Amino acid sequence: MAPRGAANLSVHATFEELYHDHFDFTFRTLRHLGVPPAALPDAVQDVWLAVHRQLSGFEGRSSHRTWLFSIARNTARNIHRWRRQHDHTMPLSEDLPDHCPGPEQLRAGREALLLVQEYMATLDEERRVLFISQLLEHLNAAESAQLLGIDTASVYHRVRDLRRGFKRWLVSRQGKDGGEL
Amino acid sequence: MARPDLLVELDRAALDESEAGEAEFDAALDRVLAQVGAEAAPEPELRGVVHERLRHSLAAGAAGVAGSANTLDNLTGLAGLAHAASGVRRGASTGVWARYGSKLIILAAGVAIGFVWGRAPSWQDEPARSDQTAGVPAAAAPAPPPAGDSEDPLAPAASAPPLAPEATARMAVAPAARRPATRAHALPRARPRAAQDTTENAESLRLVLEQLRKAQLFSRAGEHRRALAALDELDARVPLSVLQDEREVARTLTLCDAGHEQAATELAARIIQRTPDSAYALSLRESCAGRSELLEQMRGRTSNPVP
Repeated sequence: MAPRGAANLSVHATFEELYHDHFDFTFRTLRHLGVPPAALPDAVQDVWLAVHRQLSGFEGRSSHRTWLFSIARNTARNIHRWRRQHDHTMPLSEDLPDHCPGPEQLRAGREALLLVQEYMATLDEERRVLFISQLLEHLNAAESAQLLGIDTASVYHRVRDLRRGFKRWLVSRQGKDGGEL
Repeated sequence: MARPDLLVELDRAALDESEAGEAEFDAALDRVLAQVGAEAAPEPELRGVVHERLRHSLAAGAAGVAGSANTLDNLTGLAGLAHAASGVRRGASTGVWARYGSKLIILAAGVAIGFVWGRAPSWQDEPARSDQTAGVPAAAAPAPPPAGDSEDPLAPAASAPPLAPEATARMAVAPAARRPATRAHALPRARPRAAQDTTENAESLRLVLEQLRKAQLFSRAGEHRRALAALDELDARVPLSVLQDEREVARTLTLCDAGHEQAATELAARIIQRTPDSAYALSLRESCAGRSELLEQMRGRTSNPVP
């Protein structure tokens, strides 16, 4: 995972610098936003094509990560919209688990990913963006505030609500599964 | 099956409603989220693969080279590697549509944009507004750079559609796009009837591009019947004379993907006979239609160099 505040690039960072520092970030963001795994390579390529197109106009009014997150968010939206329009009935995230025991070789990380994606599927788009930007990708509060058009204090409050919501959801889920998650 | 320890801890912490339990839950959740981040990371080789694809895409788009063998269709952002990922192999024809589909649409769009300057709709929202996060005004649309004069394919160059206003302004001017310039310049003085004609033509062009994109997407998703249906719908709504080459090439490639080699071959032959210098000659020859003797015979009559 890209460390917080990675590569304190100037507003004039080159495409290559951004790509080197933030490729993984954009990929993860797309994945968290529910882009199906099979579509991820194309989706991340779309993101970076857009970056290439728009980079010369980037004026540094947001951080690079905020900007890249926005591009990824728009790309994911487009993909979801297209899938809905063309009757793709698969869940928006093909990683959504069922509640039956999975293969034994599932690793802890894989199960964790599935669990978190299942929870995020219960959130509206704004809360999902906040969950991803704050809890998964560790943008700072100002960056998330800018993404969502809210103030920094609201970011803190809403993140706390998300954590409590996740806890309640887990408890509820445990109840449905007879004590197992 | 044993549940991973970190999820067991999370479950346990979730049930603890004490104040200490809140802190413990937050810590357990953070450990889980850290694992999620690692799990969601891309495969190491993907970074290089995407970078190469970007280089080729941008180089092909900037140069406007017909039939760049390494051009990868990515503009619509869907299903490119999904074919491979799904394990379905549909043969060379699908690869050709994937390789040349975006170039075809780029050239078609170039004509459309030259025809009615700056008014090219998009079915795909342009991420150009991404800089419009709260308090972040949209980035200024950059001036169109000269096409093809940079040796570095990743240097700012005329990039490819989606067909949104910003991309429109930077669209590489395909040779065909230069033709309609005079018509666009005539717009301010157009009489009402001419203005109406322009509006109708703009609408026709929009429909053509929209349906070509649909056909491309369906074809790449393996839904060839729907791809052909999109082209049929287009023919029913817009006269074939509007971007005829592009439409017929798209149909040829789709017929190939659908396994209708005979029909594809016949259509390809008609295209080449009508337009021996077609920018799509290489695309057609690399499709299933190219295996026909007829196209082989016609190969020598065209002026497009075949690599």
